Formats: sequence, C-alpha cells, structure tokens
Amino acid sequence: MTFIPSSGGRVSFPLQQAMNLDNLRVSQNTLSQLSVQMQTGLQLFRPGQDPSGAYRSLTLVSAISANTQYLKNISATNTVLAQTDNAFVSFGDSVSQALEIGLRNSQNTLSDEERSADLAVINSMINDLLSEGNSSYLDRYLFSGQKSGQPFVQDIDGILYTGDNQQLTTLQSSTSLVPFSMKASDSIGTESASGHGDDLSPDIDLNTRLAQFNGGTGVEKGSVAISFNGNSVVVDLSTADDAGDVRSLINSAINASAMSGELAVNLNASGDGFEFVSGIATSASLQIANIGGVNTAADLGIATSTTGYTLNTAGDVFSGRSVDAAVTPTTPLSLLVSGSGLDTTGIQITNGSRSATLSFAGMTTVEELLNAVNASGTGVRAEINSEKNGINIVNVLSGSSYVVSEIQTAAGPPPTYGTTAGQLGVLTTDGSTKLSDFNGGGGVEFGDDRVTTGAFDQNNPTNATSQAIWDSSDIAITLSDSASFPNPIPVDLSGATTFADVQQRIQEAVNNTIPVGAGPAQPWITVSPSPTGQGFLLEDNTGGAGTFSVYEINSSPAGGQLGLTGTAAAGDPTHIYGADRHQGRVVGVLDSLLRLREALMEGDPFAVERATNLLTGDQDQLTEARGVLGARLSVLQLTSDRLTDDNLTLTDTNANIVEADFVEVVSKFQTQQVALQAALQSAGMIMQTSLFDFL
Amino acid sequence: MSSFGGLSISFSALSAAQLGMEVVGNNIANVSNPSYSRQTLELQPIRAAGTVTVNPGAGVLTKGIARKIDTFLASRAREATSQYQAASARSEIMTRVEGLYNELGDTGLSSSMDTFFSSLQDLTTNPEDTALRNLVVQQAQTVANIIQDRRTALDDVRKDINAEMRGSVDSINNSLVKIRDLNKQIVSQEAGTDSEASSLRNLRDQELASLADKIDITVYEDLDGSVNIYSGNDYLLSRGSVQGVEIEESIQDGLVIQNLVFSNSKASIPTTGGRLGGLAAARDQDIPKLIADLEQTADIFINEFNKIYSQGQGLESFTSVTSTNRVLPNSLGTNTPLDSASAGLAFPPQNGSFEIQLTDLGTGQTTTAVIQLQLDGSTTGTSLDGAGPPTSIVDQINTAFGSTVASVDGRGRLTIAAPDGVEFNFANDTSGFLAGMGINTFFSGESAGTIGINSAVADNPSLFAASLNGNPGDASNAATLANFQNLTFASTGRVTFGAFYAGTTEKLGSLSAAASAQATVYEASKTSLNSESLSITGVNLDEEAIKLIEYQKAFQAASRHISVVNDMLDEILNLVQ
Repeated sequence: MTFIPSSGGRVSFPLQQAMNLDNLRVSQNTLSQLSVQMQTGLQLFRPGQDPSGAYRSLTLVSAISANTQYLKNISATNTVLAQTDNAFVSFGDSVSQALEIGLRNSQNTLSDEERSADLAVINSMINDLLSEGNSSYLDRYLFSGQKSGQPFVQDIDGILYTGDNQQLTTLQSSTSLVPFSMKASDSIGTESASGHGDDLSPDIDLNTRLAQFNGGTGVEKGSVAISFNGNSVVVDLSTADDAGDVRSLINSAINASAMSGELAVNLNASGDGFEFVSGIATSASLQIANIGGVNTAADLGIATSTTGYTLNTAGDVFSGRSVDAAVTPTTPLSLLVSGSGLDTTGIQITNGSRSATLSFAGMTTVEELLNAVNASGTGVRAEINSEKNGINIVNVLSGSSYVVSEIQTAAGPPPTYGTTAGQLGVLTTDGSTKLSDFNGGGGVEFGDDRVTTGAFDQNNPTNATSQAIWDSSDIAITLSDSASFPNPIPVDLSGATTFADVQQRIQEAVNNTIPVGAGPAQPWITVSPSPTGQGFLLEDNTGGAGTFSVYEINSSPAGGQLGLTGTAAAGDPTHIYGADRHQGRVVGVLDSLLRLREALMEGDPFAVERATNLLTGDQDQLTEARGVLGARLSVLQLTSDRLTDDNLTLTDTNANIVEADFVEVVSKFQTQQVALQAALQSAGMIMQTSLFDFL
Repeated sequence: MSSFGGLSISFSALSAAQLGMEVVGNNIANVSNPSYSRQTLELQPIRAAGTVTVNPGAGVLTKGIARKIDTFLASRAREATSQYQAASARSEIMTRVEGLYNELGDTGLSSSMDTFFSSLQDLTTNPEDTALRNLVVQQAQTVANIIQDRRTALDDVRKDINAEMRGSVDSINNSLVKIRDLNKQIVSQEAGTDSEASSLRNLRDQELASLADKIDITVYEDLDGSVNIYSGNDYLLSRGSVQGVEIEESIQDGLVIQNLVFSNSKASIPTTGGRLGGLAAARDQDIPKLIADLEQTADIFINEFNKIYSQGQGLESFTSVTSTNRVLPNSLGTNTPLDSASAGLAFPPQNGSFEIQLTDLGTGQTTTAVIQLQLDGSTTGTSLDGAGPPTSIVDQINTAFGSTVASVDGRGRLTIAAPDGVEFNFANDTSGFLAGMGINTFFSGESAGTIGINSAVADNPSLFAASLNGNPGDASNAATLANFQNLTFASTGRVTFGAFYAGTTEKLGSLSAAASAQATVYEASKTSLNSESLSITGVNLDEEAIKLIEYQKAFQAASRHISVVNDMLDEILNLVQ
C-alpha cells in the first residue's frame, strides 16, 4: 500500500483529488483481495506473494500427495493380503481335515469302504486346493509370483507350479519398497528342498561389468587416490564400466604421472580381483584410498590400509580382495567355480515320467545353461539364486520324484561321471540334504546314543572302548585291506541330521580306527554324494583283496534307511553306490496330499503316516506364513496410522501457509470497509465544500 | 501632477484586475488537469514620470503571467514516474506469468507431476492392469502438455512485449518531434521577455511526462528555454536535432526479439526506466531465467527419467523399434564417436554398455548380448554405424542377432527390426545410449517446446517399461520412476527433483515479488514527489475564489476611482461655465 504524505504546504485541488483517488484505490484493492480470500479460503494464490511459502507449500503438497498415494497402496495391499489370507485359511482347513484322515488311516483299522470314502475326500480336496491356489484378485493370480497365467497346472505326473519366487512390490514410503504378495514356496510349498545350488564363486575377466561386483550391488562411481614411492595420482574411475576400463584408466593415469613404469594394475592371480605390481627394485609403500567419502577403491577391493602395503622389489604384488562378482545370465561358464570353469559334460534330470540328458558342451554363458534346463520339459525350474552366486535347479512338480544326476561318461567298471551337477551343487542328494527328508519324509532311525571318545582298535576289538563303540554303532564296514583291518569297523550314526553328518561320521570312524600295523595311506575311505544323485558313494582306498561292504549292526535300521548297506560289486570292488532313499520331491501341501492319496490308494498305513507327518510340517509352514502375513498387515496398519498422522501434520502446516485465517480476514475486511466508507465520506465532504458556495 | 493622471492610474488598475480575473479563470478551467501548472499574475507598480517630489506613482504594470512550478521537483517526479512505470511493467509481466503457471492451483505443473507420479505408484499395485497403464500415459501427456504450453506461453509473452516495443516507436518519435517544435515556439515566445510561455511549457511538460512513461530519459533545459533529451549516454533530442528510435531484431532462446535502439548509433535504449524498459527487462532478464528452468525441467524428464525408464521392459517386447532421436547425417557411416558434438545428440552417451535380450518365440529362450560403448571423449570412440574399430553399435547389434537387423536411415535414426519369430528387450544400460538415442524411452523430444510421449508407448501402453526383469508382475522400474521426485541428479545440483522444481517456482515467486516490491517502492517515491509537485502546481479553487474577489474588488475600486475623478473634473469644468 502506498502512502501519500500530507503536504506541509498548500493543498491543491489535483493533489486532493489524487490523494482521494489513491486512498480509494488502495482501500478497494485491499477489500477486493480480502473478498477473494473469504471466497476461496486461501491467502496464497501466487508464488510472488510469498516465494519461500510457495516453495514450502509445493513440497508439502507433494509430500501429502505421495502419502495419500502410499495410503492408497496400503489399502490395495491390504486387500491382496486379505485375499491371500482367505486362501491360506482354505489350505489350512484342508490340511487339518487331511490330517484327521491321515491319522485315521495310519492305524490300519478302517474298512476298504471307509478308506475309499476318505480317498474321495482327498481327491476332492486336491481339486479344491488346485482351484484355491489359482485364485486371483483383479485378474492377477495370488500365488503366481511375478509371472502371469495360472500358477498351478494339473499334469500327468502331478501338479506343476509355473509361477516364480518373485514378489509383487509397491511403495509405502519414498525409501520403502515392500512386497504385498506371499511366496507360494514359503507358504503352500511349491519346490523341492533339493536343487539349491552352491556358491559358484565366479572369477572376473576384463569384460566383467562393475555392476556385477560385490554380489551385484556394483561399485560406487568416483575416484581413487594412489600413492607409491613418494608420488601420487588421483584416478577418476567414474566413467569405468567394466574391469577392463578400471585397468586401462588406472594404468593410463599411472603412466601419465611421475609413477610411470613403477606400478601397474592387472587382474590378480586368483582371478577374482585386481593386483598392483611393483616395477622398481627398491622397497616402497603403496597406498590406495577412497576420495571424498566415495567408496570406489573399497568397492573395487583395492583399498589398502591407511599405513599402506609395502612392495619390496620389482614384481612384488599387492593383491586386492575378491570383488565377489555376481552370477548373471551373461557370466561365462568358464569363469565359474573360482575360475576353473564349469564342467560342461552336463546333467541328467529325471522327474516322474520325464527325463532329459542335458549336455552343456558348446555353451558359453549361464543364460544358455538356464535356457537348456528350463526348456527340458522336466518339471524343474532353473534360475540364478537370490544370492546371485549360484544356480538353482529345483523340482516344481508336486507329486513327482526328481533326480538330478551326473552324466555317465564311461560305463566302466568302474563307471565314470561328469562333475557338472556336483559343481553346481544341484545333485538331488548331497551334503545339505536333511536326513528327515529320507524315506518319503519318514526320516532315519538310529540305535543307541553315540560314544564320542576313543577309537576302535583293530588289534583289540574287544577292549572296553572298542566294545562300547561297537555296542552303540549302527553300521559296520569291512575294508578290502583285511590285513590292516581284519575286523569290521563300527560307525555310530546317531544324532546325524544331514547327509554331510553321515559323511563325516563314516570318514571319522574309519579313518580314526587303529589298524594292525601302520596301515595303508590315508584316507582309507571317502564318502561323497553319489553322481547318480540318489544317495551315498563310498570308496575304499585301502587297496586290499578283501571285500568292501557295509552292513547294519545292533538291530539299527539306519544303514538300510540311509541306503548305505551293500557289498562292492566284483567288477568294481572299491565302490559302493548307495541305494536311493531320498526323493527330491516338492515340500508342500499339494505334494503331501498327493502322497496321502497314493498311500490311501495303495492301502499302505506306513506311507499314510509318513504323508501325515509331512502334512504336519505343511501345516506349520502355513501357520508360519499366516503369521508373516499377519505381521505384514500389522506393520501396514502401523504405517497407515503413521502416514495418516503425517498427512494431518503436513496438511496443517500447509494450511498455515496457504489458507486464510477467516477471523483475521473478516476482521480486516470490516476494518477496511469502515476505512473505505470514511474515505468516501471525507472525500465527498472535502471536494464539495468551496468558497464559491459562499459568493 | 496631471488632472487626468488619476484616470490613467485607474485604467492600469482596471487592466490588471481584468487580466487577473482571466488568469483566475484559466486556472479554474484547468483545475482538473494534473499536468497543468497554475499561473499567477505578476504585477509591479508604475513609477511616476518627472521629478516631482511628492509622487504617488503612475498605477500598476502587468509584468507577466508566471507558472508556479518547482522544475527540480517536477524533474524528480518525472524520473520517479519513469522508474515506477518500469517496475510496474516488469511486475505486471511476472504476475501474468504467475497466472499462466497457476502453480499453486490444481492445474499447475507441480500438481500434475504429483498426479503422474501417483499414477506410477498405482501401477505398482497391478502392473498388468491396462487401465492403470493408460492412466500413466495420460498423466504423463498432461505433464508434457503443460511444459509445452508454458514454453509457448512464455514465447507469447515475449512476442507481446515485442509488439508493444514495435508499436511504441512512432509514439516516441512523434513525441520527440513535438517537443522539438514546442522548444522552438517557447524560445521564440520567451525571447526578450521576462514572461514564460506557460501554456507551451505545460504542453511540453505533458509530452516529456508521456515520453518518460515509456523510456528512461534525462532532460536538460538550455538558457533559451529549450530542452535536450538523453537516454543513458546517447541523445534523443539535442539542440533541435532528433535522433529518434527504431527496432532492431536479434535471436534469443529461439525467438526473434525486437529491441529499441537509437536510430543513428544503433545502441540499445537503456532498460532502467519507463514501461518499455521494464518490459525489456522482464523479457530479457526474467523470462530467460524461467525458460532456462523450464528447459532444465524438460531435460530432466527427457534425459534422466528416460535413463531409468530405458532399463525396463513392458508387457510386450519389441519386434521393431526406431529411435526418436538421431545423429547428425554428416556423421553417418563415419567413425564419429557418439559422445562427440559431431554426432549431435542432445544427450550424448558415455562410456558403458547396455544389454539386448533376444527371445526366440518358438522356444521361449532368451539370449542376452552386451553392446559396448567405448567412449572416453577422444576421437576413437564407438560410433553408430562406422566401420570401426571399435565396433559400431549397428555392427554389434547385428552380431547379437546373427543377421542384419540394425540400420540407420538418412536422417540419422537407428532402426532395429528383428527377424520373424524373435522379440527383443533392453536392459542394464550404463551408457545412457538408449535415452540419448530415444530407444525404449517414454518422453520424446529434445526440449520444453518439443517434449511429448513416445508415440509407440502412447499408442500401446503395454509397452510401458514397468518391469526390470521382464516379469509381468514386476513393477520395480515403475516404483523407481514413481519415486523420481525424491531422486537427485547432477543437473539438479544434487538436490531432489522435487526440491529442484519447487525451487524453480520459488524463483518465479522471487522474481515476481522483487518486481512487485520495486514497483511499490517506486510508486511511493512517485506519489510522494508528485504530491509535492502538485501542492505547488495544482490549482486551489478557494485560492482562486479569493483572488477572484480580490480582482473584482480591485476592478470595482478602480472604476469607482474613475467615477470620483470624473466627478472632480466635472466640478472643475462647471466652474468654467
């Protein structure tokens, strides 16, 4: 508002007129603005009225908009999770009913008619759950992961799961990407425990992209500082895309500096990172550090300690740490297995009525391998694992047993096999296999508790220690070197829970036994996963003429249940190939129901009992999944409450900036109205009175 | 002493009173004219002739009619008015732009961006929903339209200012000619007299005020009463010579700009005062800042948004794609590195790589090929279609497909057409090549004026690249894009895009507020000075009424005096009879 100072001198008519007009203009303008504020309820219309207020308002409105959308996302998420929970309830009810049927039929007290009736119920239940597993919400299947299409498909060998383990995700804050679907594998159970591959520890080459480093999290873009022999250089690596770029940029920078010829970088000898090689004969300290808080050197695995690393002479090497390269579809097979390269002999897959022998010869990348397996039509799913360091080849065909084995390269005897499946860690039975999964889920029964001290003495097999060991053991092994090992060696397996435990027990028991005389060279026995993928492979290394055999003792059924018992064949006297006691089946509700159905059809109460035990585990998994789901809903509710509170605060803050205070505005309006009235009156009176009126 | 001397004295009094009443009448007639300077009658007594010791004088002499004006104050008031006009015009333009932006309303760009990002969030909850995909495209189109409309609107404002500039040339030149002519008349009329040519000066003051309203002028009055007019360091009117102004054209931000220049020297008229000065300042100083911000906003969408977007995959794969951007035709078939200016890409790629994933529709199998871009700013980097080395993009793509699928047309656009039974996608672009060439991008165009939506996605929203891994249920790329407002970029000065954009609005507000504040300050100054000037120059009716009475009474008294003298003379003449 402008202000016209009252003149100290004369007041002319034009001045009076200007003053009146200006006062009226100002008053009317103010009234107009106040009127708009009253009509709209806003006090801030243009950024120019309050630039910083406009800035704050825009950011607040954006935050409110985002929060409102987060709330909308939560609402959608809640609905999907509620639908999923409904499906879980159906699965849970069915499992409970199936358990009752299982318990009833495991007693072998029911008539054929009653068993048939139960079988009909189970058949109906399987169909219902198949439908439930394919339930959808808004045209999206609840259990298909990120795939489209029906996740559960009836198949000649069982029920095939075509979904994946990926989850649907949405935003619930600017930094929080949260899943709103439940993995079918963690709830219903859609894949085998077998087939989850080992860490393949890929090496790098010059074409390895930096994005693969550090388990796939990549390398922070920036510069590194390199000091050596009193000189230093800063290398900008922000444009580097692969290991070759890193080498090239660092060597170029070094060669362009006073360090030229004194230092060079290359891939290290182990092939999993970089190394720096001294080019000078004298001892000098090498320091490599991050710059400006950007972790480039650390991410490349080349950062030294702050005190540096001393290179004593020309050719001395500072080797950086492994960059922990991730496995990607484009990773060359030759870089896997710590750079040794994957054996491309291939693998053999058998799943129900299907089988495939897959040679990887000629393949160069992980992607080609995955394509070959996934296209085999064997009801398995091949994928890079979630840790991005290995490959999973899992069974996704409920109701069907699968075996992944090595390809036999020579019939022998002894037969020879490739090592591909073993290197990948996908042999159906291997070190990580739980003994509880043996025998159709029935597990393994052991004898007495283990004696943990002492060794079995071949020279005195009846002394107290040897006798105690024998009495508590489950199996005995005779070795071919009957001179050094005239007596069978007892092995106590009780307490073992995994395949690897059994391996260890046998190897320790045999290799720790006290031989007659010095005995042959160690190890006397080697136990490993069978290349057939179906159990143990025991190898007698003692080299005698005796018979290599394994048998049960002390009435313990463990040897047979583990498939260990047997005698080496005449043509291959040093090997015992264990029997198949472990089927790589899907661990889940549908597989268990299919097992129960099969057991009921066969009238096998023991199989019914085993299936019932599996259903108990499935029920626990479903309960756990519902717990996770409930926890998610609870977190969502908390997030929703927080966002609602946040929005209230943000809205209130924004209102203080942009919205008009009605009390204040009305008060000002009234005041201004009075002022305008006064201005009009006074102007009228002043302008009307003139001396001419009195002449 | 003459017997008729009394009549002579009264006659002079009658004449003076009559003239006084005419002056009063003229003042009253101009009472409502604010540019009029009131006049006063200047009188002086007439000294008696002869050497008579006792002499009452010979009457009253009309010395002249004087204007009541403080020329220094009037000059200051004119300057203040000129400055106010400049600030007011600048503020007027900024207020107009604020209205065009409507940033605090529901239809502003900020609000539209919020809605667009919300639609992306919606898509994450059901990435296969066609309706949600359509909504994303529509909201993005709204964002692009607003940016384009703003760019057009800013040009329209500049064009309007151009038009006002152009239209003012004749007016300014006519004023200068008028003032030159008035100068001549004033000099002629005032020559050899003490009296001012009041009416002419009033007219000239009026023209000067009109001129100062338009441009920044400085006025110097010569001793002969004529005025010289300068603007900055150059003259507009000097000693009867008019330089005048004319329009000179230049290009600014892609638009022809019309500037006022001196006719002879071709120097620019200063923008420090007058409405045209304010308009020029708004057009040449304020609006370019807004254009720069708008262009940067568009760049961020076209480049940064597309860089993220291009990492993703849609529900459908490509069977054929043609880049929306192009390299310069002169670089075709040569080893011109793609990061060089010769390639002509608005957003050049950098050293890096990207992947093409080929899917055999027959087997469903996917094969991934890595396309390398070796770019280090030198002349030996990867080209689009040169013979190499290094191997060009086209050759690498053809190798990946195992057949000739990539080609570049005469306009510099890259086309990849897969053979039958093969589809392809893109992923993991660390080079920015896809965004730079406009392949698998969402926003098209190269500037705020051309920003739009890639027609392929607009026509088929299934192509919207919501997924990173190609799974239909994956919306992780859409989630990243939905969070775009919270991402920081080098081009935003390492603040979030949201904060950057709010900052541009704050800048608009600051420019507007500064112009408005300046206008308010100059208005106060102008009003104050004008008030002071009006208190001197303005007519006061009461004063004039008193003067009227005074002159009336003087006239009556003089007439009575004549009557008395006449009676005296009659008495004397009667003695003779």
